[in-house]
Amino acid sequence: MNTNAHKVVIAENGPYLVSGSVPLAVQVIAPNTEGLSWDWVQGRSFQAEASYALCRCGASATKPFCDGSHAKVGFDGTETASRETVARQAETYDGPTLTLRDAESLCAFARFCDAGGKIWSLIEKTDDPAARALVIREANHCPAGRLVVHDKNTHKAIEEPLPSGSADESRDPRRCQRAGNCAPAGTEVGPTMSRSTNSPTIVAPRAWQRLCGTCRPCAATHGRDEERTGIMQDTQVKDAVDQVRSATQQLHKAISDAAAKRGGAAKADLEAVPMKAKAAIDSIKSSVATQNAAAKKHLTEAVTFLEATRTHAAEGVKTSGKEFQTAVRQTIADARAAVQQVSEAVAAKRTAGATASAKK
Amino acid sequence: MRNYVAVVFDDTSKAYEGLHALWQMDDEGAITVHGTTVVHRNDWGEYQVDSKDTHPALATAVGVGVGALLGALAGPAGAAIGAARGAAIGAASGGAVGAVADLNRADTRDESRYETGWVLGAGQSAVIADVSEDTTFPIDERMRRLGGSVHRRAYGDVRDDKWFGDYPYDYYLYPYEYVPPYSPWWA
Repeated sequence: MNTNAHKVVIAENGPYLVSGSVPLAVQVIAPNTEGLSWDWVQGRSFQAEASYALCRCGASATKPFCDGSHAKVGFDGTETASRETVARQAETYDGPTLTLRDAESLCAFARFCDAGGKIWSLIEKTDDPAARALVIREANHCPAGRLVVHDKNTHKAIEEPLPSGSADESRDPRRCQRAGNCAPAGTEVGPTMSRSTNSPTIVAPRAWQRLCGTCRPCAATHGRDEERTGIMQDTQVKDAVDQVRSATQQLHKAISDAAAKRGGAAKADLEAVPMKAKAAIDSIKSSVATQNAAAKKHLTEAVTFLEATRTHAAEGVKTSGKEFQTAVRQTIADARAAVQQVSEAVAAKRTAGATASAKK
Repeated sequence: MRNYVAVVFDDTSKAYEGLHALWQMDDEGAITVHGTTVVHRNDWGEYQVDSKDTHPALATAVGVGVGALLGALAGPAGAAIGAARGAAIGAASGGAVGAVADLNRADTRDESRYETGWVLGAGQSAVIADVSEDTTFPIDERMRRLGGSVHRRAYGDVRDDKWFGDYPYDYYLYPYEYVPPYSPWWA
């Protein structure tokens, strides 16, 4: 089976457009004797065409396929999840022979991680072959890609093939008591996935998930939304000032790292600082016009500090000894002040956004 | 509103989970984090600032400042004691802040124990952060779930305590996102 040809496109306010003859079947979670998620059992399979559309709005009468109901119900398919990479989202849990990477926000609540005393505890016992095998099993049964284990010797992810080459639609009969039809669906490992807009293509680590539009209240009961209730509002999408902040944070860190080095190495790193500071200044200047008054004030001050950062870094490169140390300290202090000002601008913008949302 | 928070945990790994959670909340837009650091207090009552995300040249300064910060979170009296205690550790480790430390040699072990009772007990770890938050709910709830207890004081109050020697009150916190040190995913 050529999985490279598998492709999923998210249509704007519409279905998932699947192409490449991706097989489709229901996968039911089977519990063990203790009632904990243990295995996938294949249920009904569907006669899938080479290309087909899967319902995303939850209103289709022919689920899992789309019947065009999204247009009638006025489905709003705006994506609200973070677009942060898994690598940046994931936390690392270090064990004797394995490392677990956990990106909590991806959780689909399949709960394969609970058996045997929870995977986060088991990871610490992976010098025991039985515990190691259980950790690998649990991570590989995770349908969401939240949990991935890496061998500590090879640093490579351990990913076993999904059963019969197709994971397809999964359904946990204990979930979604309210919506009933809210089943996460997946295709097999690693299909290419993209959005209908101009967003970059992304590749899911194991399988992709679908939560139908009707399951938002259901998802809340499972804890996903309780973390974000009332606090996400319109801030999920990173705007220009957030990007500027990342740039100034990185600049400050780069200067700190440079200062930690000795002699020539520190100087070589410092040579790049004026140019990086200039880039941050340009970035701020291009975004200032769209900000509110409070944010503008902080961004203007940030530019002043970044100019000072440039100056002190440039001076530092030309000096040595005590003068060099002084210049580096001033450069760090200026960069830190710039980060603080941009952070204040971000906070001002977020507060204004939260207030506006609350008024609505 | 801008606040300083110290979230105290009984074990170090939880403190790093707390640190990471703060930056995640920032990423989600729930709060804005201006700076963070993690500090431990060993069984003998000494502060240990983890050098993982600490610039080596500033490590001793952080040792001094963190004592002051923890004290500041306990109020003005705590700030004085915290600064003195932190300075004593700075003196022990030498470095650029030795002069600051020398001014505070009057510290006594009794006072140190008094400060400890307010915020950070022996064997505990804390993540300290300078944050902007519209409500206290996101941090309180997330940290409660991680098993941490939150101490909070207004940024302006801490700033006005002025117990930070030659360094500004926010010098001891690092303004960039915490990234887990081992990331095989990127290999």
